[in-house]
Amino acid sequence: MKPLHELSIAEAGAQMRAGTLTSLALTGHALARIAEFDPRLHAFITVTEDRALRDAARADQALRAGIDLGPMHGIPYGLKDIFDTAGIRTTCNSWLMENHVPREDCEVESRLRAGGAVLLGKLNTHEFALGGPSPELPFPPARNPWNPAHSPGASSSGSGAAVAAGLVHAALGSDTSGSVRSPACHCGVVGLKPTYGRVSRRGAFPLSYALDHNGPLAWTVEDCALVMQVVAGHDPLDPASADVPVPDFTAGIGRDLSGLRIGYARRFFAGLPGLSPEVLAAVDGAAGTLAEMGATVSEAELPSFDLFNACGRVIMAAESYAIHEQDLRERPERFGRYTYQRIIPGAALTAADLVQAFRLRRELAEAVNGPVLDRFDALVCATALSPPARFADFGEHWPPPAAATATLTIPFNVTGNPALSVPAGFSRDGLPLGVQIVGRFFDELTVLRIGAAYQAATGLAARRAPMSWARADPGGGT
Amino acid sequence: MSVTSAGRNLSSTLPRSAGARPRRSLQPGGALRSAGLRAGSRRSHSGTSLPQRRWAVMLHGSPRSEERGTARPPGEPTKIVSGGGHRLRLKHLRASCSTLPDPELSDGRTGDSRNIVEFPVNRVPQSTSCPEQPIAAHARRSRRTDRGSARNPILPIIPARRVTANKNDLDGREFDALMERHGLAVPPDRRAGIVSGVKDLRRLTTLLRRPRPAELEPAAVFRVDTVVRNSTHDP
Repeated sequence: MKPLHELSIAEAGAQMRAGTLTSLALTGHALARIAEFDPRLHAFITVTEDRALRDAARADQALRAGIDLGPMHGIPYGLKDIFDTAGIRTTCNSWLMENHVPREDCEVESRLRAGGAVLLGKLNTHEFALGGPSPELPFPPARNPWNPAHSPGASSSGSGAAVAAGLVHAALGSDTSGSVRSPACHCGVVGLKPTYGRVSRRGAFPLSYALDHNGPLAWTVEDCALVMQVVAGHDPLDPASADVPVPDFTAGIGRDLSGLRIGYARRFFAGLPGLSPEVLAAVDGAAGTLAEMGATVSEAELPSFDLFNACGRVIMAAESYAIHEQDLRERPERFGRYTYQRIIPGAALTAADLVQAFRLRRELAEAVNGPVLDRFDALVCATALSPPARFADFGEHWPPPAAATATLTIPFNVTGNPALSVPAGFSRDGLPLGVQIVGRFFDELTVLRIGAAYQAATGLAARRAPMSWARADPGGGT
Repeated sequence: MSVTSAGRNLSSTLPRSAGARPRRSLQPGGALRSAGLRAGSRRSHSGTSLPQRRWAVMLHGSPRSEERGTARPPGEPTKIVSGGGHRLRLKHLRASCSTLPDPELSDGRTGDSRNIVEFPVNRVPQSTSCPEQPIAAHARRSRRTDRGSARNPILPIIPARRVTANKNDLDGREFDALMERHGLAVPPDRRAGIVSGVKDLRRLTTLLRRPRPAELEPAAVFRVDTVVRNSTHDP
């Protein structure tokens, strides 16, 4: 019998509906694990224990009364600490927001709460979802559950770490240039960046209006689909929200891959600096596995990564500078070192730079969605180019060495396509590697179908992070 | 089922024009306009005649596209882009452009060279409404102060320690002016990371400026609509 923290959302939900498990037991188990491991893992910024226990009891009561609020009913989860939560501080891990207590919930929290889910707390993040693992921030950086000397990825670092450590069953992160998929990849869990406009961003602290996406991290692809079922949908108050029907995201889970055409964008990343041979071998293996499972896999060509990277980073630099401009002038000392060093360069951009970036964005989106995704149902490529970086790789000034931050995620923030990171194996040092599956606009179903089939074929979900290093001292030391 | 190996000629895998889905940019209006041009009408929308040069621009894109050799000869009708435009777009976006000449520079230098400061920063705050004035002012000042060569009206107003500075110091001066213009007071211990960030961002901006043939944007109108809001995809 599995320990409670290893139950998937689907399994825990089935047991709760069968009356063999209560949300209170599940939540209590999670809170006990947080108390045991988080003092050294640093995945949480705020733990909402009292509220969690109250919400869990209420969820149990509702189920007993025959009220089922959906797939997240009674399930413990966490939110990246850039998502507004009414009455609960939302710090963005910044001294600038240290005492910020929102009066309203963000849209995804409203939907999860209405769906009966149980909030365990707010999860660690790089400052304002940008920055880096700076030591001078209000809260120390989250550690990688697989090896605490390594980063859990950026910037939803606490989300990735908490899921991988079995502290929460699901977490919500934000993804502007890969901040859901990078921690998912580096922590050996699943992360979905949905289509631009699929999930509301209202109430989540912005980094880049044009590139921000919110999405789930969970242990299995099916669990991501279940979270999506609750958080996806049109929000008329988010100007980027798309008014499109919400499908049954689990409809493709469990189906085989026969008939699917998958493009392997190998040359898109095989020549990039910083690519680890282990990553290339893992993604080659993933493409081979998909072919063995019945998909027709052939090589796909994408525009140069340099163009996506330039386009995305210029937009992000301009928009993040615009968001923080006043504080950069008036309270610069309140920013962490890396955040400050990463945002200020946006001042050097011109209006023409930004116009050219948006122009290129459209061309790149058409290039991917025209010739490439007309021919393929989905694409696969690496998520990150190397295993997670060591904290020691991050020096005094930004940037760290390229290999420490090299990911292949920003292209799909630029184009807006849905992209899923799924575990694809481990490095020689036992660090997780990931493969990225990219689909057509609003076709998360196919992406999730491929990801679920691949995850089931690899059996990697059975391997859990060794958390013995994070056990708190009996005396409570951290 | 097998995965094709690396090194395969990927151009052969691209879709053919006939099989490709027409793009949204191929609106009826585009076809009508093109038909009008084919009919030999050389009237603007207001009905007035246009000079030959302006017609060349309307027919073949911007004057810059002519300079880049992407223009068609005058009189040849505008080509309506079919699904084959996909192929063109991908080809156009394929190569890594880090070594492409920067279209903003006329002497063929690569984009990276834009990092080099092309003007003394201390001219920036002195600029006036008349573009000719600063040079003249510098020249007069150089004669007054007799601090440098009168043949170069720019150098003399630069303090001596900066005249002998290396390229990085010049970047630093520009950086200081930039920060001052934006009202930013950068702590010295955070400066290095920002300077390198600015340089990197400028390198990236050179990649954004690319020659764009008319086929890439047949309507000659840059659409700024969001990427997927108007998607017709029905999952």
